[in-house]
Amino acid sequence: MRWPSVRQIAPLSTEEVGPEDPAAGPAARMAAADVVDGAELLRRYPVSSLDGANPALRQRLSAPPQNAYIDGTWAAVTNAEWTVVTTALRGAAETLDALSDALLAESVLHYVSGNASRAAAAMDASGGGGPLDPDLDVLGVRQAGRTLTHNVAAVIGAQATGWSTTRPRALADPRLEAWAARRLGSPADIVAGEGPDGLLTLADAGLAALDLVFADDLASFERDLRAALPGLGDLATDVAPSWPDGAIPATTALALAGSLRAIAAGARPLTPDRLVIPGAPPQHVLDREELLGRCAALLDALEAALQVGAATVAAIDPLSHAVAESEVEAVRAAVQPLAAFGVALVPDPQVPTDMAWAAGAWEGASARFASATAMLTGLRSDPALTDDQVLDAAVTLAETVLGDGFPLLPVLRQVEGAGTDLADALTEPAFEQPAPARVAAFVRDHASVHRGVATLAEAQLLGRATGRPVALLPVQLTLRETDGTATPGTDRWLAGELPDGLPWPAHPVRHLLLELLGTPEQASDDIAGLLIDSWVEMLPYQPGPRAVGEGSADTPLREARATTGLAVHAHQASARAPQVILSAVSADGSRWTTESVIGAVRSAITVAKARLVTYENLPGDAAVLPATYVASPWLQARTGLDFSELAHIDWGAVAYPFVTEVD
Amino acid sequence: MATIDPIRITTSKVSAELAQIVDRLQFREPPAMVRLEPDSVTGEPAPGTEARIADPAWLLGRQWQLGELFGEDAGTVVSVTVSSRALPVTAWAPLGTGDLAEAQWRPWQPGALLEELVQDVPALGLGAGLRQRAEAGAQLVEMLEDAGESALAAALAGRYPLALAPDPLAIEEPVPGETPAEREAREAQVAARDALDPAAKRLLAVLGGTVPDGAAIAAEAAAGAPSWLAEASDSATAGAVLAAWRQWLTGDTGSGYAWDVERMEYRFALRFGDEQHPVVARATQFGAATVRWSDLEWVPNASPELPEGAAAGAPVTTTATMLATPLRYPAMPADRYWQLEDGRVDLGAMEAQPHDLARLCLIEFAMTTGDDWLQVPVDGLLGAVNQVLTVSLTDTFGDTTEVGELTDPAFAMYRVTDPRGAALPGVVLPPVAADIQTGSAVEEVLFLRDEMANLAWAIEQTVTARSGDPRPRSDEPRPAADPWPAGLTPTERVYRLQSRIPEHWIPLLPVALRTGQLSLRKGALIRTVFAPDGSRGPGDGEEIAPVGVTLSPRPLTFPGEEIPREGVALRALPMLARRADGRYVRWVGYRVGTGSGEASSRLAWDAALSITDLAHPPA
Repeated sequence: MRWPSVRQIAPLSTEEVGPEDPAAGPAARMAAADVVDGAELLRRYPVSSLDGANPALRQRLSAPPQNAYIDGTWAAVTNAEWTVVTTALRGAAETLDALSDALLAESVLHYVSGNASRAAAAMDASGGGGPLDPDLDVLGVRQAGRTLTHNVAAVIGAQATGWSTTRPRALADPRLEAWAARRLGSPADIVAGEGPDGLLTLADAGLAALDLVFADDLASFERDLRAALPGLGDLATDVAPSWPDGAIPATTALALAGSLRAIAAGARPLTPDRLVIPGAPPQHVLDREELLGRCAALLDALEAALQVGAATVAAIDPLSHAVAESEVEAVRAAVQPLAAFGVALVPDPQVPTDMAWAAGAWEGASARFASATAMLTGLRSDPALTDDQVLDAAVTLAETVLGDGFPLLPVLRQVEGAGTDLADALTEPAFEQPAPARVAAFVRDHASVHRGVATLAEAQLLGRATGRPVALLPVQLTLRETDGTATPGTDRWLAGELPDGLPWPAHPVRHLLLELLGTPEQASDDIAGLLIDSWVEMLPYQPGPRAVGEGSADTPLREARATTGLAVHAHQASARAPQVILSAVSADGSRWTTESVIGAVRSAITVAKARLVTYENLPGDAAVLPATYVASPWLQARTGLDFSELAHIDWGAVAYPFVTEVD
Repeated sequence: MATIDPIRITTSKVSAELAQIVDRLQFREPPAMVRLEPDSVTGEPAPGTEARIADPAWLLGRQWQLGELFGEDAGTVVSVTVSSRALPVTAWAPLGTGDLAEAQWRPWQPGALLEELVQDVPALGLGAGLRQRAEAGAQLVEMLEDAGESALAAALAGRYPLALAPDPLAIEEPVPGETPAEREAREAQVAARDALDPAAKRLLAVLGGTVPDGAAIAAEAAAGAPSWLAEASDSATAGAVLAAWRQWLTGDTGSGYAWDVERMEYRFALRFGDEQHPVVARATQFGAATVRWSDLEWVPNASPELPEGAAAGAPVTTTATMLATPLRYPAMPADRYWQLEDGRVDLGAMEAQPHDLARLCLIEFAMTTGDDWLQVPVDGLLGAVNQVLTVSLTDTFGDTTEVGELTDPAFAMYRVTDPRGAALPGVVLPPVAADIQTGSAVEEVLFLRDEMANLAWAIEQTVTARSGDPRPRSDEPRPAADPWPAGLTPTERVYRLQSRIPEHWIPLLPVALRTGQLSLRKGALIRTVFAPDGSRGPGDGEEIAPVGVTLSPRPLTFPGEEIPREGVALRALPMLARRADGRYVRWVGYRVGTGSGEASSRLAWDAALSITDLAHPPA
């Protein structure tokens, strides 16, 4: 076939294939070998050049290509081959034409939509082959654009507490501790194992719920547990009949805590803008001082923990890190307080007297302390920082001290007199609450596509399985029209069914799925929260209040409507008012007549037409055409005509006989 | 007056009068009158687009020049009346072979979404994932509890216990007669497998015995009413709950089976209209996110019978009169010459080279014809062929003009055509979702050609683990290097028939099923397993099978043209959309994308390897 020749005419040069590397393994990415550049081929040999007796391309293809493997017997192109070639090229030309049209339409769409950058991208793709999303928007059908903003969050009263108030993580965020404690249940119902005097539970260990949530793995959790419960036997893994009702083994609680960690690591602190109708002014404000105060308290706690071990660690030989066997326990105790900050304490079981692990842990914690202290100093010294910047920096500080994924939840203070939309929606919901299974189905449906909701779904599943179910509460922040006035809420669950004939609220809607710690009334006080996930849903066509209210047009398309469009080309009447004021003075002092007014206007038009003839278009003649002349010594000085002479010329019936309109 | 020299006025020959006038004029010395000139002397268009101003005569002249002073015998259009007809969708059919004559038509259910029916691949849905089975079971439990059947719900976990799918390559139970070394090797395999999917055992530890297996319940319910329904306090209510749960779990029972894995595309047909006005369109190359008119092909003269249960599909005719709205868009140039432009308009900043035709066309549209267009919103029926019957314009004088449709065979958008290019009258609005939310891929397969090995590969990049979570197969540990044969000295070489290939690279071998037509058929490499003592271990010599659903059919033969040089990336994504009635529907479907070029597997045969080659094979 003739394709070797075609490749030589218009090769498509892609990135060069790299040299063979015998050490390289299987590679799933390699550049394509050179192929034919169809656009270039058509540029050189357009479709119009393919007709005729002996077209140039046919001559070219009949010539032998430069290929060492082809001997001298290269036959001329047969008629059958030529038909194949021309058919392929005509098809390519049609494809190219269609593609050009589509890209032009795409650029017009984005241009009229106000998206100049995407319009430019489409034009660049058309003109120069630039990259472009192959999923052209112009081919799509746009449906009516009502949206529903979803937020999934945990809202926690500012005064809530959990298992511990003194452990570092609980100190850093008592609200998060309260949230984890509610999810995990009572520590007295989590059995660690048998001790010398009977069952030992996490209540005996004095751990915080967040210690369980942020435990790295089972081994590190067991180390912490044994440090807190020295007489602990085997770690409990199964429920024993003798346990109290509802008790679960610590390993099961650890599995549930793993789900909570996934939620916390993927969530963000709840901010005031999420607690109001979209676009409405916030009704809460972030308490900076409280947030920075907690950061300082956390650092104080870390400093105190470092002080406990400072002297002991300093006494360790920095070269050998070896201590006497009798000192091993003292070193272990000296660094043990750091475990509560997430510092890994992993002794070497083969060489128990090697304290490199302890010295390394202490030094690492000390470096964390120095870094976090510098951050806090910077935060306090810059009053120009915004709330968001302070929050981001505080979260970074907490992660520096306590490890990645630890969210720091700011307390949101209720703004006095600003309204209590969230509390109102919680205490007086305008719609009937859906059954728990429907809410669960909503969570499970969205867990398949939203990562944050997936973590919540797992926590819900494990929580129910371990006898610690947590209810989720749908809340809707919007306004509905009641007798012409806007009333908070709406009378149906907007994430549920959408019956025919019911209008969508005219105001923006925020749908919140809340895990609420505390009573609904407490939401009007200071709160904190964890934003687990958020997204905006584009809804199927929803009629507005005027589309289905009284007096609305009865249309069979009401319920399944999509808006299409016709473009009608209709020449618009293009006459416009003149943008000059004609001040006419009767030449001979006589009164104006209709005829003389029309004559003056026409004369002005004629003067205007003549004015358009400029020096450049008509050198010489134009010098005497009407225009504005100014006497100006600083403009380009030149010899000019004395137009006062024109007053003495008899112009006759035609104003300017030397000016002729050209159609 | 002074004598000026050498100034000479040039006059045109055709204007004798001008010559006479000039003769009578006298010259004056500076400071003379200087004429204000707004015109460009360089020929640059920029001064013109800047719309400089000068004296009133100039302003008036420019208005005349731009046509603003011309009265026309035309009124301004004030209203547009559009009458249209919609032929609603009445049936659909998956097209296995693409042949419409063999299509099994299914009635269109009101409110259904085309994507949920077409894209759904049931095998990818619930699957064997522990998480999905547990979630499904827990949902049924909660629904039964809401219905007051708590006792029935509590018993389900015992009837349908959750368990992880068995893994023949990593057996957890002790094997009778195994040696300590074999046991250690087996446990290492189990540990390695669990490390790839740590969630599986964590979930099972908590959920086992407390949550029922939803997949097992669904399988039993599909075969008939389960026996435990009789134990309900209200069997009818429990039965209704079970039916609602199945609807939630699996969606429309008629969905799926439009996916052709060998062609890597969805194939389906839609039937619109009643018995008198049937319209059939089919899609045979669909693999994108949402169905568009451009995915469809009109099948003229096809008139399949309406399936049982289908709606009548009577045409919906509407007439609407709307105010005529001139086309307006952000940064639209003003339609008058001297008018303050929108702040975003900067005509002087436009740059276009003569060969940049697209840009020139766009500029011309904006500058010259943008204000001669009316935009008329026309309500259409989603899920119908919407045909505009008449369009009439009424202007300020009360005149009504009926306008026809532009027919340009060289340019047609939004028109579904038949294979020969004839356009179906009207606009097809497929019954698609307003928004489809997608999650992370549950399966990803990359199809690439490997010219050096003279075959293609299907590379399983992501599969669903036993926990139900996606996991990358590239994380799987590579097998240990083969032991050096006991009888060989280190200076000798060992013969290997074939180099090792990662287990998630599935070979596609070229076969010629028809003369001159290349196809790529799924093959299998043979697993090599050495026992700790150097002998062949369990599983040695077995075929390496794909793990995922996508490549599981056998035989599986891809036509050669379906795997081009740039390759194909196939992703199975969970999707969620909302029907018009507000119900959410979920499904898992494929998206087809472009691959990443060619592959290099380093597959080689007949190698004599040194001890170094054997100990350190290519990574």
